[in-house]
Amino acid sequence: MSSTSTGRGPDRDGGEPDVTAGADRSGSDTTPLRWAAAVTVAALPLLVMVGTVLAWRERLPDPLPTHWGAVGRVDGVTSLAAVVAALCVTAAIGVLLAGVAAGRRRWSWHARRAVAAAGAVVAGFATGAWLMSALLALDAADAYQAPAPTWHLALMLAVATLPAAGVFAALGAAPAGSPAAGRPAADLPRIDLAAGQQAAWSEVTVPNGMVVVLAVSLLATALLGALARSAWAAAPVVAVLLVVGLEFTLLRLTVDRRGLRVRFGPWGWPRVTVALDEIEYAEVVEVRPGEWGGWGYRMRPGGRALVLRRGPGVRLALSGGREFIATTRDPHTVAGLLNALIDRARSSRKPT
Amino acid sequence: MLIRVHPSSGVPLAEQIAAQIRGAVADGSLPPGTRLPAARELAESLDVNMHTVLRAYGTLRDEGLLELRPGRGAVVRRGGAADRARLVTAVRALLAEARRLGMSTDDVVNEIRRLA
Repeated sequence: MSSTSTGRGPDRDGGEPDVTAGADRSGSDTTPLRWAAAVTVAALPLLVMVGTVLAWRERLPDPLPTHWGAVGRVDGVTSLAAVVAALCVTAAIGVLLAGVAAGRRRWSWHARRAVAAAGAVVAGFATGAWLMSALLALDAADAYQAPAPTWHLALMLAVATLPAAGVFAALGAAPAGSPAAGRPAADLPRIDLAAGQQAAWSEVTVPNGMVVVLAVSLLATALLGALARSAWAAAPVVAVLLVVGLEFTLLRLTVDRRGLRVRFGPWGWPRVTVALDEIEYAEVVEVRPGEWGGWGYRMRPGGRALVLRRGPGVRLALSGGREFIATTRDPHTVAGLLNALIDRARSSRKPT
Repeated sequence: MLIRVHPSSGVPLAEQIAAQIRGAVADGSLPPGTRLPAARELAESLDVNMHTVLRAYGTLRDEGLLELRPGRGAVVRRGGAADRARLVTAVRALLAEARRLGMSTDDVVNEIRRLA
């Protein structure tokens, strides 16, 4: 974000005694536990894989079926040892990713969670692939007698995604950033807010053409899968595309006394919350997708952006020099409401 | 859609919420087909009871401005919602004025018939 203001920062009172420090520290005490739980969840698929390898060793054909053709007949096999080695190494890399994320305290919490969840997906996917091949070949005379996968695909998807969901659950909500202390400058937009008045602003965006993009990419993937003569292999990709695409068919942006919130998808999940407490000030900006490398929910060190179109948006300057940017049709109201809410929250919080 | 409520203004909260949504429908800032926030979410945002928001949504549905569908929430009705919102606003203003003058609803209806 090179174009936006730099000299507009809030006037911080230098050495304000940090009365919340004690509370913060006791709050972050649970964090190592949560990270340990997240890594454990990411490691579960690997444990399941090792456990089932040991339990089923005698009942599996060697080689193992690893590829099914379009008509559902096995057309690729790999030696049991090679399959187990490759998938265990893959799962272990996933666990390692989660471990690295847990250890990197200097990364942003969101980046750590994203890496840990990605690790869990890698581990889950390897285990899901193992379970599918093994379950189909269990007690088969040889690999080519294994039936075609049916519900196993759903199992593979579940095993691939559940650990990531577990990581999210284990880590819980993002820890509150250090509270912002400044007051928005006087020349920033404000809306009238009487004492005792509550205000909420909400906007739904249905990005144009998202449904078309979704349909085209699904069609392309399905075509690719059919051409590759292994239609089922495309199923997980299609499912992931479908979910990601659906998340961007409808977005709701809300602003209220708690801050700004983005809800993705028709079901309103996942959500991204920027607590009012973290916001130094809000201002109206022009958002250029090029600066963020395109459309969508973008991240870069110290900054996040929800870029749904080129044009007006709101920029929230956050504590610690971070920023959050979102495109909206009504940036003056968003910035005005946030600044008014900040004024009110910080004036009533001020001691003496 | 910006909604501001004042608990101590004397006007019931549900009416305050309904009036502002009606206004937004009337001036086009809530175009037909727009999905309103779920009652629970809006209630949390405004720090009011969920039933207060549901009452506001119910009023607007009765006025023909919203459709309430289970599972889909409240949606601004397609087909003339803005015109209808302006009409309802005018009627409500008329009724408020009549009440101030001590007229009953029947008196207002008779007055309308006499002038029409």
